[in-house]
Amino acid sequence: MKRDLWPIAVGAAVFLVGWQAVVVLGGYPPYILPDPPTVASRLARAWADGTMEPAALVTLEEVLLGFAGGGILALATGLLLARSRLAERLLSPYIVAAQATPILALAPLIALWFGTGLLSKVVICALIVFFPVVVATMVGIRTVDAGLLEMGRAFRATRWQVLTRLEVPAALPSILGGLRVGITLAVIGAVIGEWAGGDQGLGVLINLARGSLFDIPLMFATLVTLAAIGLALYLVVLIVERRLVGDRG
Amino acid sequence: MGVRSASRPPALRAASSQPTDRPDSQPLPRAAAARSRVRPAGSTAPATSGCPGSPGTRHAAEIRALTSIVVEHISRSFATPSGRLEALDDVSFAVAEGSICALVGPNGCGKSTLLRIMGGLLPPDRGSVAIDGRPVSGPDPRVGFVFQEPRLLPWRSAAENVAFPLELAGRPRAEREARAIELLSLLGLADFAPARPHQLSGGMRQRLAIGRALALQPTVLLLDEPFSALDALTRERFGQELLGIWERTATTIVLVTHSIPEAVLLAERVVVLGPRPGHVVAEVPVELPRPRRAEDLDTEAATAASAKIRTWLRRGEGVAPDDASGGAPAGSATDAGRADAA
Repeated sequence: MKRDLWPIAVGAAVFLVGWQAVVVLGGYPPYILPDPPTVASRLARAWADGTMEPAALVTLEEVLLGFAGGGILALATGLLLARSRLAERLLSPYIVAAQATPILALAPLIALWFGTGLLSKVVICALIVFFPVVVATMVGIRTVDAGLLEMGRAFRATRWQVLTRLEVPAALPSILGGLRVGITLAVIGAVIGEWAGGDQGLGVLINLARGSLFDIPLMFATLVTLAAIGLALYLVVLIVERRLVGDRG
Repeated sequence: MGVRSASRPPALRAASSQPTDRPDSQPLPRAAAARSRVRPAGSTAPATSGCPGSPGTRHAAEIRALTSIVVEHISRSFATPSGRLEALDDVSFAVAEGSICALVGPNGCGKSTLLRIMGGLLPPDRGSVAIDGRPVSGPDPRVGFVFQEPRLLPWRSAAENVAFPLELAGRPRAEREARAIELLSLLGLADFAPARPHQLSGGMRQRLAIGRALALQPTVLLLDEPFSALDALTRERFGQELLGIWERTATTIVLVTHSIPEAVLLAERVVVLGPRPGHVVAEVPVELPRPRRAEDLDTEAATAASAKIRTWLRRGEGVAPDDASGGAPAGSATDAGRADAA
């Protein structure tokens, strides 16, 4: 495990050095592109003085609720679509159309309908998480080895047993792949939701830093926090994935 | 069925406590107790007694009592883009209780389809299958099915895979665990209970599949080319292991195979199927004493049976240049085969 970590460290070092080099060689002022030390110190200060923490918690809550809601809904829909061609024909045009409509365009509407509080952000997150998880679930269930299903039938599995003991476990790698994509999209959804109407959260903080405060290092520090949240959540999904399907060989 | 199944677990438990890791050791005394109850004394050649078409010396009622599986007039076709494909045409044969029957035939003659119909996985268009006098209609608890590939659940341990049918049947955890240990020791896999399928060899995986098929103590074990994915050496050993398992569990076995030596070594009776639409060309009895070993394939009885099967296979395909008089037309082939058997 330790040996696996060095490429990550080297990559991070190269990234930071490159960033610094661009700032120095380009001669950019901090209000265009602050260098890594400036961002790091601003980040530390923002966490210390209580600017960042409440915003991060708000955004994290939106992301988690939206991801959970969208994920669960998508799992159920994916199972339904995989099982029934009729349901697929009936529903998939709307699902695809909803996905093809830019979420940026929908967000103000959703804010209008669901208010500027937590709910509208959760809805936007759920909407953006929904599609990749639906597709992954559907494909996963559809591609379960027919041999396994016949085996289940030979031993008289009920429909429910086929679903819970064979189809879902067999589709799990695919479903978790969809969730991995979904969790990163959920972070984007939360920020978009906050931009469309809201007064708390990291998205709001980005706007404040760029606008009225004109504190570009703070804006970068917020971006770093946002990226860290996305990375951490992605890692959690990855660990769950390892736990659930890592030992299949 | 009630009497049989009730008598089974102790027999199996007693047998499975014996060492099972040496497949080539002297086989255990066959589960004679289970057999002698249903087979009259002196019945030394069950191979010639199972077919209702061959009267032999037995009374009809007696024959019925000895018969485990009766396949009658099975026909089946499939819809394909280019029209209906006749897979099986009026297939009838019977399998004696506690015996091993091999189905051989060319590729695409419907052997696997036939086996699926026998196991209730596929309904026939016409005809019927009965086990112990009761018809098979749908997947049947009296049948244990072993597929060409092991079809194990990669996310479960060997023990959980073997106990899977018990889980589906809603048996309590304690019973499942005990039965899994019992089955794994029967298969010589006791040390591999926690292993995942991908950690096991191909032969071990197929053994697990057999264990899973035995989990609910079926009276009939159906095997669809269970050796086809194994290398030659493993195959040979596996045949011996299957015989060992058969001796200890007193099941009736029907096995689809491509290999004539395998059929001869394992089976009491070999049903030869002709090419599409699959039909019975002949039934060839193999009169080799039990227990059998690989060397028995060199005996006169074995080579005679092999030659007979090969001849029937060729005739079934309509290739009989050496023996022009023997080109039995499809319609009369079954009768010829039965005469041969009797």
